[in-house]
Amino acid sequence: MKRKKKRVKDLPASVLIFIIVSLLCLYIGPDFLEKPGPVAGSAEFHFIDVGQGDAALIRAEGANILIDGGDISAQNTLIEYLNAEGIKKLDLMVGTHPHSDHIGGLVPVVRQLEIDQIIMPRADHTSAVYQELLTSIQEKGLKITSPASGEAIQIGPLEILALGPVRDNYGDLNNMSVILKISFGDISFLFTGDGEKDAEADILGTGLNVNAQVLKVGHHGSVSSTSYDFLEAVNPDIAVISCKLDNEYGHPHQEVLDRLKAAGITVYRTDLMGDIILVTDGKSIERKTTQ
Amino acid sequence: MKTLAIDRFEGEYGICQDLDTKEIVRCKKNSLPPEAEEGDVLVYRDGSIIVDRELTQKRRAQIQKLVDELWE
Repeated sequence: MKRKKKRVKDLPASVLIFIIVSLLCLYIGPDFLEKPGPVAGSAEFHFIDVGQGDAALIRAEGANILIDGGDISAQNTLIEYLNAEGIKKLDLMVGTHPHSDHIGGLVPVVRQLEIDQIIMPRADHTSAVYQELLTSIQEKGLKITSPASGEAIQIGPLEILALGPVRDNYGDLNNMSVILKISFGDISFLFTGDGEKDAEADILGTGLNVNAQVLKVGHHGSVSSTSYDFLEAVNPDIAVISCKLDNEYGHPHQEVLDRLKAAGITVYRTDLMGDIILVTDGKSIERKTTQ
Repeated sequence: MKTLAIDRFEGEYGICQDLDTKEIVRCKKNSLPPEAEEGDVLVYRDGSIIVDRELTQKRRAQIQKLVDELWE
């Protein structure tokens, strides 16, 4: 008895710690192995390559935001991306407008992840995918809000300013896009959905500060959007275009690319570069080149 | 018989969703009725594609009900 007691007592502290940590790992399971989110003091903006469509994931300490989900054909791509990031809960999900290339991928996201808050423009549309998305939201017992232009929302360290839509009705869904400026420290990203020139002009008319270092170019780089006045007011250093290579619509249109080039803006494109991840410490922006 | 909802217009195309199969169908704009708008429901009738006003109204009302219930 005496000898046995002595042996336990003699076990080095490091061995005991090893045993405790091993047991903890077993208890926590695969979660322990998941990719951690961004470190404190930084935020990540992921523009996910979903082919022809938009999907962006924003991560900061205690904040996961998804803006759009690509088309129905991108459902697996998106959910796999979110799973690989280890995301189980979204603090905010935004469907900028009800077109399938923006909301198509959101249906499995609603079904599989925990969601705290959903923002969409209050619009009616007749597509099956819109109906399916609304039904999946209803089945989960969630509600949807549409912030007014000028409303501010804080999620973790991210400051969100709702810019658009300014009006309740535009007669077309692109202009109904929820347009958000998301800031981390001194750095801002502007997410424009498919907002067109009418929506851009209305936002400029509000006098709200649209200046941002990164602009998610409206409507996949279509000439319908990114008017000269709007671009001048946003005055970005980087423009991100989300579209499919050789798409049927000619996105991004040459006129828009020329306008961005003339303004000396760096252009990143998902059709040419795949997933684009921009990381900021609140003062500068770096492109993360390896996952 | 196909029933299509017009999801959106992009350049020369009307992008529609088949309401039965959920498939996304791209149609040349000039093959669609000139008065067709985003959200209209299209059907084939007597060899041509037409806007089904009654079906469009019915679907709009259905979705409007969901919208009214879900928005805060």
